[in-house]
Amino acid sequence: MAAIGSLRSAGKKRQPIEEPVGGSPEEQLDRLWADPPGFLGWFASLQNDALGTRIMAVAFIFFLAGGVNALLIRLQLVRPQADIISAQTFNEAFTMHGSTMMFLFAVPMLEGFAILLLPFILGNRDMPYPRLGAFTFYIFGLGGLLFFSSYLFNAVPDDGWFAYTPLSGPYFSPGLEMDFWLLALGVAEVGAIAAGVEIIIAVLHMRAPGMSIGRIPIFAWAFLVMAVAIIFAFTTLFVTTMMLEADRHFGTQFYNPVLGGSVLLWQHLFWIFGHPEVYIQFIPAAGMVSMIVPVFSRQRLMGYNYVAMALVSTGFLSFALWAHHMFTVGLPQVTASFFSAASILIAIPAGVQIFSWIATIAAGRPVWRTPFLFVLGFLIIFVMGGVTGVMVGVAPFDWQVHDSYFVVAHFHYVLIGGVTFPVFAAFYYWFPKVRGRLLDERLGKLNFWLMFVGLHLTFFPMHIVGLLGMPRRYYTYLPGLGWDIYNLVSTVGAFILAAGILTFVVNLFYSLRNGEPAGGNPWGADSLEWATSSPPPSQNFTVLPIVRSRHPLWDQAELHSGEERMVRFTEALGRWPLHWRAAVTTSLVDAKPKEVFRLAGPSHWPLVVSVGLITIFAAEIFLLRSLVLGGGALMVIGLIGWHWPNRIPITEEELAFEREHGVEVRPNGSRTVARWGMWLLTLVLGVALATLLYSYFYLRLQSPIWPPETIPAPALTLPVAAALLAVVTALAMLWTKRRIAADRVGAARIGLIIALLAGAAASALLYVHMTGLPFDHMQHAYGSIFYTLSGLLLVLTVGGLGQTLFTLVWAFRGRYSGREHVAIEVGQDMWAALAAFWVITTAILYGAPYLT
Amino acid sequence: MAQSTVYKASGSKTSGPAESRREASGQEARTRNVATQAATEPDYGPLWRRLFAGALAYVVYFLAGYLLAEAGCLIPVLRDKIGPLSLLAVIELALTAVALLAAAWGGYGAYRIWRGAPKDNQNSTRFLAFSGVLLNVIFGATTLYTGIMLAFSKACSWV
Repeated sequence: MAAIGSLRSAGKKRQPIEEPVGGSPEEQLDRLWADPPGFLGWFASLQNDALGTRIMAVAFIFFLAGGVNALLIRLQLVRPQADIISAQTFNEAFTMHGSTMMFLFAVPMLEGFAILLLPFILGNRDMPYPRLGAFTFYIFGLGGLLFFSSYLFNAVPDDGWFAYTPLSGPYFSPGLEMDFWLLALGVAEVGAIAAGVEIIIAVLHMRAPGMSIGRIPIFAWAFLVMAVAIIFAFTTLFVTTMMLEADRHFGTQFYNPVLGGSVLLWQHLFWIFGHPEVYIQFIPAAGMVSMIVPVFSRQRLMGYNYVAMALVSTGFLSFALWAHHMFTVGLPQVTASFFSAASILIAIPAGVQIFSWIATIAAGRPVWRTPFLFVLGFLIIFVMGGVTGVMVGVAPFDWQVHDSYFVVAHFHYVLIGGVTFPVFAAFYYWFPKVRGRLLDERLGKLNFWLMFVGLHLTFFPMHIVGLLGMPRRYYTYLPGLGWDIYNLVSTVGAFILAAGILTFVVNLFYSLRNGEPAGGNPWGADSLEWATSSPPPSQNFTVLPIVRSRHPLWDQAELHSGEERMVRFTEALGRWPLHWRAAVTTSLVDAKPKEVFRLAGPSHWPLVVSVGLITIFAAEIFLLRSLVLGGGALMVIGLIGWHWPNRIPITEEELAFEREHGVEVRPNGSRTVARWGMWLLTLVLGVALATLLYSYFYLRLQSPIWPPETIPAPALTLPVAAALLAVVTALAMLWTKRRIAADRVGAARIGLIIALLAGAAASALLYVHMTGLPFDHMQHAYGSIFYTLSGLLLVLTVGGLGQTLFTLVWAFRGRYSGREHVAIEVGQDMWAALAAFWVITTAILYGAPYLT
Repeated sequence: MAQSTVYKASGSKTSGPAESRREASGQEARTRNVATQAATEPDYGPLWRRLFAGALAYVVYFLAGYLLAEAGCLIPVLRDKIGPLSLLAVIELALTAVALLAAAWGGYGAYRIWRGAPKDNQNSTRFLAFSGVLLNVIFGATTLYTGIMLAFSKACSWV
C-alpha cells in the first residue's frame, strides 16, 4: 500500500519523450503514466482512474441536488392543500429533479464507472482517447454548473424533464428558463456522446491479449451496448433540442403547427431518445450486477452467452418502444401495435438476465456483504418495476393510468431499483480498488436497509394513489379523495430514503481514512481489475495479462503464461518502450495483439475546447452573439492545439520490436483507434442527419401540400452539381489514399489538392444556391427544415475541408508515406460518408417535392 | 499482491530515451515489412452476417412498417380492401414474412455453424454462432408477435 502510494506520488514531471527515466521498468512506467502534479497539472490530467472518479464525484453531487428537489416535491404533497412551496417552485422542483437525475446523474455516473474501470477490466493501460475522457469530464461538469446557474438568474426551468412543446416553445415560455434547459443540458449531452465513442473503441479493440469475444466480461458487453445506444439516442436528443432552440432564438417553425410545424414531432423525437435513455441506464447497471453476483455467490454466472445476447437484444429493442409514451396522443392503431409489441417483448431479455442471476445465486454459496445486499434489493425492486412496465406497455391499460402516480411508481421502481441500487452496489464493490480501503460494512448495511425500506414506503403507495386517480405534476390536491394517507406515507418514506443516502455519504468520508485496508483482491473476485494493486499503479498493468478464461483470476494460476509468442510480447512490452505511453490494440474477435501505439500525454487543450464550447452555449442563452463567436474561436484554437501533430520518428529499436513480435509499433498513434474514431464520428453525424430527415418526412406527412403554396419547388441545377462535386471530392480522396499507400507522395499531394478544390466548389455552389432561394427559414416549417438540412451539409463540408487542408499542409511537410498516412485514410472515410450525405439529402430535399 | 509486480523484468535491455531515439533510416522505415500475422483472424464475415440478420431485418421492418402505418391514414389507397384485410395490412404482413425469412436464414445458418464449431463455449466461432441462434430467435419472435398484432389492427383506426 505505502509503496503504491509513493509510486503514485512520484510522478513529478511528465515529458514522456525526452525525460530520462531510471529505476525498474515498473517504476519507470508508473512515472511515465502518472499525471502532472500541482494545481495546473490537475487540469491536464488524463489518467482513466482520475477522470472516472472525478466524473462520478460530480455526478454524485448532482444526485444530491436532484434529491433535494425530490424532497421539496414530497414535502409539498405531505398533506392536502399544503402551502409549503408555491406552484411555480413545485414546477421547478420536478423539472430540476427529473432533468438532473436523467442527464446529470445516471448517465455521467455510469460513464464515469466505464472510464474508471474498463481499462482494468479489459486488461489494458488506458482508454483509447484519454483527452476525450478529459473533455467529457469538463463539458459535463461545466454543462451541469450552467444548468444549475439558472437559480442565480431566477430562471429555473419549469416545463418538466421532457420539455414538451408548445409549452416549452417561444410563445408559452418566453423567458430564459427553457434556454437554460436546452443549452446547458445540450452541451452536457456532447460529453456523453464523446464518452460513448471511447467506450466502444475500448471494448472492441483494447482488450488484453487472449480476451476473445467469448471471454469479454459482461460489464464490458453492457457498456458496449450502452455506448452504441448513447450514440443513437443522445445525438437524436441533441439535434431535437437544438431545433427547439432554433425555434426560440432563430425564428424557425419546427414545432409551430400554425406554420407547418408539429408539436408531436417533439414528442416523437424526444422519446426516440427518452426511452432508450432508460435502457442506457439499466443495461450498464445490469452489467455491473452480472459482475457482482458471481463474486458474492462464489459461482460462475449462469448462461453467460444468454446474458450477453440479452443485453444486445435489449439495446436493439429499446429503440422500438418510444411511442408507448404517446399512446394517449392519438396514434393509428397499427402504429400503436408496433410499439406495444416491442414494449411487451423487451421483458424477455430482461427476464433472461433475472433468471440467470437467480440461478447463479441459487447454485452458489452467497456471502452476505453490502454489495450483495444492494444487488438483492435491485432484483426485488426491479422485478416489481418490470411487471408494472409490461402493464403500461399494453395500450388500453396505459390509457387508464397515463400521467397518474401509477406511472411515477413504475419508473421509480425501475430507475431506483434498476439503476441506483446497482450503482450503490458498485460503489461498495469497487471503492476498495480506487482507494485501497473497504467501505464500512455496518454503515453499509444501515445504508442498504434505509434505502430499501425508504424506497418501498415512498413509491409503493403511489401505485395505489395512481389507480385512485391522482395525476402527476399537480402541486396540491383536495382532501377527501382518499389520497391523504398514501401521500403522507410516501413523504415519510422519501426522508428515510434520503437518510439512507446520507448514511452512504457519512460512510464515504469515514472510510476514506478509517476503512479496512483492502489488499489487491478483497472480494476474491474473478476479473482483471483485481489483478492490480489497490489503488492501482498509473500504468494499470506493467505486464499485460494474457487471458485464457472468462474468469481469469479464478481459472488461471498465472496471468502471464500462455502461448509463447504472446508471453514474449507482453513481457517485452513490460520493459519496453518506456519513452512514451504505450498501449495495445487487439483484434476484434480473437483479441490478438495488433498494434503498440502511443497514447496522448497530459494536456490542457481539452479544457480549452470545453471552455470554448460552454462559452458558446452559455452566451447563446443570453443572446450575446459576439461572445458566442469568441467561444467559437477559442474552441477552434483548442481543437487545433489538441490535434497538432507531435510526430515522433520510429526508431531502430522499435522496428526491431516490431519484427520480433509481429505487432506494429505506432509512435504516432493507433491506426485502428483513429479509423474507428472517424467511423463513429461519421455515425454520430449520420444519426444527426437521419433525425432531420425523419423530421422532414414527419412534417411532410402532416402537410397536405408540400412545399406550401406560397413556396415554389426549389431549382435542381446548382444543388445537383454541388452533390456531384462532393462525390468527386470523395473519389479524389480515394485516389489519394491509393497513391499514398503505394508510396507515391507527389501524386497523393495532387489528389489532396483536387479534393480540396472540388469540396470547396461544392460548398460554394450550395452557398450561392441557398442565398438565392425565394423563401427563408422562418416563413414555414418547410423552409426551416430545408435550410437546416442544407446548412448541416454546408457546415460538415467546411469542417471536412479544414481537415483536408491540414492534411495537405502536412503532406507538403513530408509527414506521410506508404506506411504512415492515417490522416489520409480517415480523411477518405470522412469524405465517403459526406458524399453519401450529400447524395441522400439532395435527393430528398429536391426530389421529394417533385415526386409528391 | 499486485499481479502487475509478478513479472520481474530484467531491465537489461532498457536503454535511455536519448539512446533509443536514434532514428531508423528512412529507407528502412518505408520498406520494412510489418509482420502483422499475429493479428490475423479467420474470416468471421459470414458469422457476423448471420448473427445480426434477424435483428437488422427487424430494424428495417420496424421502420418501414411504422412509417407506412403513419402514412396509412394520409394515403387513401392504402385503406382499400383486399379480402378481409386492407392493402396496408397486406403490405405489413408481407414485410413481416420477409423479416421472418431473414431471421430464419440467420438462425439456421448460425445453428449449422454452431454444430460444426469446436466444443468449447469460449471458442469465438462457437460463441458467435450460438449468439446468432439466440438473437435470431428473439428477433424472429418479436417480428412474429408484431405481425400477429397487425393482422388484428385496423388501418387508420385511431387509438
